[in-house]
Amino acid sequence: MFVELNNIQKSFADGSGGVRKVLDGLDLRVEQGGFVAVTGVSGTGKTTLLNILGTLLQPDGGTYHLGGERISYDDEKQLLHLRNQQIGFMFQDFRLLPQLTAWQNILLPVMAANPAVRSFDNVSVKPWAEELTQKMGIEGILKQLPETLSGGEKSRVALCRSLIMRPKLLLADEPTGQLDSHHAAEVAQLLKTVNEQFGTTIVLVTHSEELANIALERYVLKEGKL
Amino acid sequence: MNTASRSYYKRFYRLVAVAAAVMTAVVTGSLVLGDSVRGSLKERVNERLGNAETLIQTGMGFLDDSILNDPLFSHSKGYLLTEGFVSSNGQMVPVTVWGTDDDSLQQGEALLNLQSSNINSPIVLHLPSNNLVGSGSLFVSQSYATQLRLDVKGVKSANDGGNLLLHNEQRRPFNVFMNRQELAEALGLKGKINVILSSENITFDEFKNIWKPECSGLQREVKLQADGAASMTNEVAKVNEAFNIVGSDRAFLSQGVVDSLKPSACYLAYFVNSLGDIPYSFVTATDQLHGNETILTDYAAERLNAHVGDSVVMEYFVSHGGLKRLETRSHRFCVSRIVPISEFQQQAELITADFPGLSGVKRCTDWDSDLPIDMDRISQVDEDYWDVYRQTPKAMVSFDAVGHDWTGAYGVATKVVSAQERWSSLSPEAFGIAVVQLRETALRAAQNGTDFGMLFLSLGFFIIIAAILLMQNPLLEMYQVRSPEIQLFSILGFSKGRIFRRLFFEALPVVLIATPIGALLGYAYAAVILWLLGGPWSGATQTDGFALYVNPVTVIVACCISIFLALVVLLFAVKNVFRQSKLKRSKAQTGSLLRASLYYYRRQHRLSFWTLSLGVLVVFAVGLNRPDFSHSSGAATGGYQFYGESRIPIQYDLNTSAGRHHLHLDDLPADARFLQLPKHTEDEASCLNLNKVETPSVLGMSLGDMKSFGIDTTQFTMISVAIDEEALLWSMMKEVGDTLLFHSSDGQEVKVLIAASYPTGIFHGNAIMPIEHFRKLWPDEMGSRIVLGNNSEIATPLSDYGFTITTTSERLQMFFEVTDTYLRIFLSLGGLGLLLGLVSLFVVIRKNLAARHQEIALYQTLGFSTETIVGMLRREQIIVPLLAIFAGVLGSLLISLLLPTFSLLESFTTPIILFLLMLLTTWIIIHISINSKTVRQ
Repeated sequence: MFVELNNIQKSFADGSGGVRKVLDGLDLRVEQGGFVAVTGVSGTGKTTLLNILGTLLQPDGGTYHLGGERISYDDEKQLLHLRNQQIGFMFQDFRLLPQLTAWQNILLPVMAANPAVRSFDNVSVKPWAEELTQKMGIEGILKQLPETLSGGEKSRVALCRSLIMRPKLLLADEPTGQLDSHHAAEVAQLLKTVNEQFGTTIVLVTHSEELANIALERYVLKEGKL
Repeated sequence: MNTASRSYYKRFYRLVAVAAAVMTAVVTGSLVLGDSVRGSLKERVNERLGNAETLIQTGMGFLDDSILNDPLFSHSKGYLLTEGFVSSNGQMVPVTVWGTDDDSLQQGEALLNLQSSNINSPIVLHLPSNNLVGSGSLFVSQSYATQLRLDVKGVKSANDGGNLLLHNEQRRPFNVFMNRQELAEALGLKGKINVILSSENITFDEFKNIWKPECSGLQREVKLQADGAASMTNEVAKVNEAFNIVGSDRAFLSQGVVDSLKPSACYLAYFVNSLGDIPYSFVTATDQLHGNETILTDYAAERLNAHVGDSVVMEYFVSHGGLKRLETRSHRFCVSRIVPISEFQQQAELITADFPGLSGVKRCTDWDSDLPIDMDRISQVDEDYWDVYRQTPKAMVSFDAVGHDWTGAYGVATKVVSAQERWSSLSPEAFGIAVVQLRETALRAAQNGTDFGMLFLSLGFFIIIAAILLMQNPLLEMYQVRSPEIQLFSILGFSKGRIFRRLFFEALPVVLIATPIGALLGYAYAAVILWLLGGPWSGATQTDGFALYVNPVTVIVACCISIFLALVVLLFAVKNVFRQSKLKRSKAQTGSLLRASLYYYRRQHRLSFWTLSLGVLVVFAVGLNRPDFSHSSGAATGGYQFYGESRIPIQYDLNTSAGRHHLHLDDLPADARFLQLPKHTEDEASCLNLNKVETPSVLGMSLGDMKSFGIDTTQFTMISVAIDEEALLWSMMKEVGDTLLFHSSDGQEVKVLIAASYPTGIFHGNAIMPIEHFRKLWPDEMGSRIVLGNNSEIATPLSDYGFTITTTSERLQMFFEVTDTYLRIFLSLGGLGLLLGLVSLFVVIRKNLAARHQEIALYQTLGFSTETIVGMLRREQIIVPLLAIFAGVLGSLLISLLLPTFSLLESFTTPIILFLLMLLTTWIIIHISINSKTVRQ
């Protein structure tokens, strides 16, 4: 298994002194090249699950194996490296930096991998980036700032950024949540292409039935379990 | 809804409240400070004047103490006031000596005020050998000073009038109080006073009504036409009524008095060196003789073997330029008559005068005169004459021939004959008597003095600016955060005006609540500054004991000003909400993330940059140009190295061997040159005096010397003065072209033009007047109280004459310490403002981080390490303040290099420390505000 979550526990303080269990013994297994959609009503812990998969959150209990290796939360550097090299993220609000152009936003993970490189002009992954942007059909908007882009364009820029480091796992959190049905279908198609052509394992959480339907596997998150 | 919004956005409003409170504190504090300094100065007026309302002063003359018996003075005290000095710990301390009838002071006892109380008992008081004829006259005793040994009975407290001071100054005087009779005897001024202080308001007319010429020492003898006195003169003989022979107990009658009396005959007794072969004789000049006419007594004619028609040569000393620069002159007279000496004896009351040291002695060889009398020339024949005839003149000469040589500062006649009715036309003004509404004048000077309120408002300018920014930043930030809310209101149909009003009235209570808190802080701020002004910053005021005076009106005004400023900031911020939507879109930036971020947040950075760089520019420009006057020369010092000043003038010319001999300074190098200046004392107009000065002290100086002190003398056509720039601006609040009102020695009000200003130097606080004008106004201000020289050997001997000698650079340093202290205050408050600006920067950074939390989260998600994120953000945030500091410093350096006073090496220490401090503070602020903890949040 490429992704393997076993008996994951996660609780949060509920603000009134108590504790709210969000994930309660959750198990998940995704094969290499798999495409999993997780649905569920709001507040069931879908984003928490995605954050655990992205190593942004440490579970209270249970184990997480990625690519056969158990994730250790003791080594911050190793986690950063893992996140940068093996995991791509796509958010509902795309999280494009307003001060950077589309092109610079796409190259941002490369900068994270090489702290010594401070100028986007010196980034060495240009051929792949160019191929990617061509595939996404955004080569004409690369010099634009996010505030000048449409929702669909933003989503494609965000997808490019999540793939720039050729991650093995792509995590998408409601990637079509801010898009109209036309653009949502486009993004869904792109994700499917990524999964098929690049072999990228995808886990996405969504409310959208249409989007969930393109996944190879579907899970419903309910009462902390899938 | 407003309350809910305020509560929800309290993190912004908290800062707004702090900023409004700081702003109010500075404004209120500064204005309260102004009230307090004014209040303290007024309090000092009460302290130094006690219950005195009216001052009657006599100028250089005196009043008979019997005048105090008049009911007008039932609530008055008479004093004999003189300057003196006391030796203490090897130094001569100038003191003001009050001869008083109070305090049951017995002979040999003295009371000191607190300021003088560290002088050990018994004290040896050095007093000018004054007596009725001023020491500037040629015919006075040779002794320069009188000494009195007094036991200190105790300290006269301030409440008890110990700090009595007639000048409008806040600095406490060094006072010695002693028995008036004892002082009068020591000075040869028995029964005389020169100051009356009354606790009632007395007008000049009231005083004039009770004043009689006799009170001012004028003496008259009523004679009838039949009396022999008239036979001397043709003119008097024609008067068919009784007439007066008028003289003065001061020997001489002034020009003013003589003019008032319109005399029919004038007589001026003089002591001449020789009359033919006869040495040292009294001779009287009169306007009843003309041309080169002389009348000899038969005694003189016999000794000279002279007859009518013969010529007789007379030699006499004259003195010039206000100093006793003796010169021997001679005049040849033609004998017109020879009269029996008995005839002169009969006219003694008219043609003789009593000169101290000359008149009352038993033998000629006992003459105690300031004149260089060669006793070897006096023979037994002269002693025999003295035995019988005393100072009866041996001859009378024409006034026309010698008048211009014999008349001088102290008068133009010794006796005059005038019609009886002229006696009543004499007025106190002619004797230089002035009636001053002392308290009224003093309170006006205190009220209009240096406005510390405005001064500290300007000095605290940066704090106010920093507070405005501290207020503006969170407001702008909050409205940015709330832009969706504002858009929503707009969508819901709220007009711009309604949204504006809503936001405005939401913030208003915060300002209104913060203002009274700020006012309380301002009270504390004023208290701290007052404490500093009385302590570490006392260089600016030379005064301690400032008290806090709070005027509710001032506090209300300060609160209103602060509220107004806060509302302007608020209005600007709210208006900005609507402006934001019209802003142009950003341009894409190539290159680094740093560059892109700097450009994207350029508004915030631009604001920080300009504020900080301008603050640094001004504070550093001031800091770099703090003057160092230890090596000043040129116009500031006139090229002199030593400055000496005494309250008792020296009458001799230090540039002549005779003058040096008189002062026992024969050992001075022959080529040593000195500049001696007379001084007419009025109020101190230097920066050491916080009161407003209307009449400054005046120095007399030749036009040639004035040029060497940088004074443009081309405008001195009428009676004019030049005043240094600082005194003119700060102490007097006047400008060139204005006029000042002085009282001349004969009591006339004289308008004096301020013809020029000159660079502030060693004469700071004094008006400088061409010596000719000075002599015209105050002919009796003889001698020099200021001595400038380049010879250090003068210091010790002159200090024996009560001179305080300093180097000119020390004197400049003393004055410029005031300027320097103000600059230090400015730098301190400016530095405080900059620190507040940096705190505001801290707030801005924290807000920036808060606004960019998603961006930071993204960095973390994408695999940026915390260290990398911290580094990126620190680089981004530090670059602007660093650039601002460097730009400010560079700008201030450029400005300074353009200024002629700038000296790089001397001026560099403080700014470098400040510069490093700012860099360190910025570094600390960046490191505190951006670290792994704050980034992880």
